[in-house]
Amino acid sequence: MAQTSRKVLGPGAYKTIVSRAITEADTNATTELFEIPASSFVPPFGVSIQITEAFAGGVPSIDVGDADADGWIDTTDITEGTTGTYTGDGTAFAPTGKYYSSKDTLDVTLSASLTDGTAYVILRYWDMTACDLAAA
Amino acid sequence: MAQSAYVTMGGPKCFTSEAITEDHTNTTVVAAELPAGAWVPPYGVTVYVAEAFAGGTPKLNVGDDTTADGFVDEDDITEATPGCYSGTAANAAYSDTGRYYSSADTVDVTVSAGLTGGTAYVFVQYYDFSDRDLAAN
Repeated sequence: MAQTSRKVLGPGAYKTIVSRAITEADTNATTELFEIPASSFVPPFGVSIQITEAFAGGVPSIDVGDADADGWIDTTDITEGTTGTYTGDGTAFAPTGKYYSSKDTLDVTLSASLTDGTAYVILRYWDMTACDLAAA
Repeated sequence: MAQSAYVTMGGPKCFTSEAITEDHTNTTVVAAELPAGAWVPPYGVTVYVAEAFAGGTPKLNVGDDTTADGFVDEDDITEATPGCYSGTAANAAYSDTGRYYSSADTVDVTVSAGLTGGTAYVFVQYYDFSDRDLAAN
């Protein structure tokens, strides 16, 4: 059987980042949470949101994504009025993961008229800068 | 409440294969060599198509020595469209359960015939449980 040579990334290449508090102060806006470096692999279900205080005001909705605003977590995956941990389900990237060949940002979009609520977004990714994953 | 002994394991590791290209057409290649005691978590195997595959009917299957499409089945991948793909429960036996390897095994990629272009990489995330005896008691 043919073999490809391969690289093994250790735990040091596995990063976990927690965002600042996302609150009613961020209502009706899209906010950049993190810069995802070039050559990062966010694994399947690698983005989660922890709601620590229920959101209220208007019709609370939260989306998490990049250029695809709900690519990681869609508002339909979240019960914004109930504290807990939520992860994307049928969104574009959640079941498959996503490799970022160039840097990007992870953004959160909050609905208008929020009067209360607190959430944190948790991002896990692999730093693959050592792997050079170009087209061959 | 009675407590069973537990061991806190270290962080995960990740194999990245070398480029799998049209040069591997109609072969099976080893993408990762898993040691005995490796545990691949659910959705721990991903195929990254960096360059669209062309030629013949492009197909990639990713599995092990037991099940050739155990982690990612060709039906889970659009080989002609760059992007990341992981297995689904409907097509790949291990994708939503993960798999523990009590003995060493390999993660293999079966590449279809007639390819003329394309590049993919396989990412295999796993935990090394080799220092934890998971034998039956």
